[in-house]
Amino acid sequence: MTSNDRSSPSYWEKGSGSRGNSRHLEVTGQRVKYIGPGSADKDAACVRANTYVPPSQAIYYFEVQIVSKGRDGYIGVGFCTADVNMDRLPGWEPQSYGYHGDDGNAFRSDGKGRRYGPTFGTGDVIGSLLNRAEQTIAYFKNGIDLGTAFIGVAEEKLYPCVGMQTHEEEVLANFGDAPFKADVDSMRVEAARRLEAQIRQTELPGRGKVGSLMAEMIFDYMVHNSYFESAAVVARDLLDGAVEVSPKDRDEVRLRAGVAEALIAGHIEDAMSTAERVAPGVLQAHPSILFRLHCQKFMELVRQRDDEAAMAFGRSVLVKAASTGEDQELLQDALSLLGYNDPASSPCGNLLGTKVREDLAKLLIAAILKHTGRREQSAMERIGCQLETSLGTLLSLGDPRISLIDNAGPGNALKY
Amino acid sequence: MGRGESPDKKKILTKEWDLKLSAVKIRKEDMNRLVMNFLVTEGYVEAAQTFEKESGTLPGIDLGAITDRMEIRKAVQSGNVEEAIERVNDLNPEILEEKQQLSFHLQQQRLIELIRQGKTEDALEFAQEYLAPRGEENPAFLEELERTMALLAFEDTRSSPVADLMDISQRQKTASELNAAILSSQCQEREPRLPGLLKLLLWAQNQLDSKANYPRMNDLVTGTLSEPTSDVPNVY
Repeated sequence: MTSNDRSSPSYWEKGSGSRGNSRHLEVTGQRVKYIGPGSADKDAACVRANTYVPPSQAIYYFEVQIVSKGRDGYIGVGFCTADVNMDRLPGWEPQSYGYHGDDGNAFRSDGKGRRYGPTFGTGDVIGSLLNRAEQTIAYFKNGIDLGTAFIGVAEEKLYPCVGMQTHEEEVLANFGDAPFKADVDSMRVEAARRLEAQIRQTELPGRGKVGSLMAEMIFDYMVHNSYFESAAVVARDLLDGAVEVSPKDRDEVRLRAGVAEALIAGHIEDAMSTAERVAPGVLQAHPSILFRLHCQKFMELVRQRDDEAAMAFGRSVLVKAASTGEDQELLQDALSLLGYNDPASSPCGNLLGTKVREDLAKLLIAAILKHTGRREQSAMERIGCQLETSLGTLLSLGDPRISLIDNAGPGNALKY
Repeated sequence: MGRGESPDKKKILTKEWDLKLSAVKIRKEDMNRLVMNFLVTEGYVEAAQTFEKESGTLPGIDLGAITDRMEIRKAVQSGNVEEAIERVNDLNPEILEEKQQLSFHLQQQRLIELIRQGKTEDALEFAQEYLAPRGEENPAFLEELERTMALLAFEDTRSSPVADLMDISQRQKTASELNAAILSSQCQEREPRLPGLLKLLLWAQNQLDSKANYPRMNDLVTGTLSEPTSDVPNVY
């Protein structure tokens, strides 16, 4: 992360939210120095970072080095929202959190604070940890964890902030450009582990319809993917024979595989007749697929350079079958192939490629499955899709915990 | 907005959700590995071997080495709890000594098997001798013991409120607990990945419930989605 990165805090924003006391601070980049009168609480001045911590970031950490504790060391470090009056020290106002050097107290919307940690002064490095996954703030002194200071920290947009109030106080922030005193990676790992433990507490229904949930899912998956021998063993060893692979299931799966194979190999007639055998009426029910199959038959003739037969088929079947605008377009492209010596390298040559037949095979198989009342995907695959979509939606709604989950992110749902 | 709905809740229609679902790419390889991981971790050697042959998925460990675990699991699943206990003790007597809960569950399973065989007298004797003293040590055990003893009160246990104990999934539960203990004693990964992922899904949906109305998956066996409440026309 560099200081040019506008999406993450990287420098102190001069005059932010101040009602006048910002003139007491000399702000340059990551450095802040108190130059005001410094005689009373009313002379306090606070400055916040240029931007707030990204709300979906689970673990955020920054450090300030106390360059000088000045006269009294009235220095506070923490987080606040954009609405807070900055002529006060961190933690004195609502929506503001601070750990103060002079007394070591932790402040949250009050002027007294409560006992928290040691005092700090010149030379110390104070780390502030915003843990959004658990909604806490904790502090570190010279890399040592001082424990949780605040819980239930729910504000969505929190800025790192630092405040001071007596002469010559000066701090230098490290927003990640330099190595930290504390080990941020292990904080993240720890938070991820706690989240994982929490997720593990979720109760699973132990039982499916006839046996254990997991065994049924695995059986369903195996049948869906034609691993019939395995499915039979699972039925016997995991489900006590409560389910079985029916010969009808087997036949259907085989026939469907045959349809795809024939289609991709360019044996369109075979593919169509097998499709009708496994799912009678499926072609009539899907005219656009039927038309594309006819087109593939035409391509077959073109590929064999049987132009006469292709022409005849085009006239007698294709032209009549084209009904929608999409059909018409495909028809024209297909017919254009006849005009070239080498159709495969013509502008519509891709129509002759395997990819087109593969895509069509997918469509046809999906149509057959639907037509015969079967699902396109196994339960396990649907669970994977639902998992990725749920995690993705949580992330887009700003849930910071998702970034701690290994299985979040495209294509990772069922990975390990 | 319907009754009881929070105004902050995002409404995600089935159409939108389906689009997102269809954009997800699940690799068959990943699913095969998940299945294999389950079979291997749970000690189903023959299923793992067959699956390896059919799908080309590698088991990742020497299947021969899990024969002990498989035999022990088989014994519990076929109701031979005594045999299972003997075999575990042959393998490593510390397992049952250290795991009080597991050892109780095995005895409980033994009791269930006696009841299943209609050996009421043996069941009573066994409960009094082996289980009752442990119930006195631990209130959780006592409760489970009482639930199990209730089986004796019903002529048709299948329709009783404690029918779940007679189910084969109860045997599997006990077998899995024992299997996990053996794995743990051998410093191997105890739990298969699949249940963890299902838990992750349920957790994610629970979190999402407070933020959005969306098609929820309530039925994991079939993976069927239910309509989000926002799709249902308002009847008021």
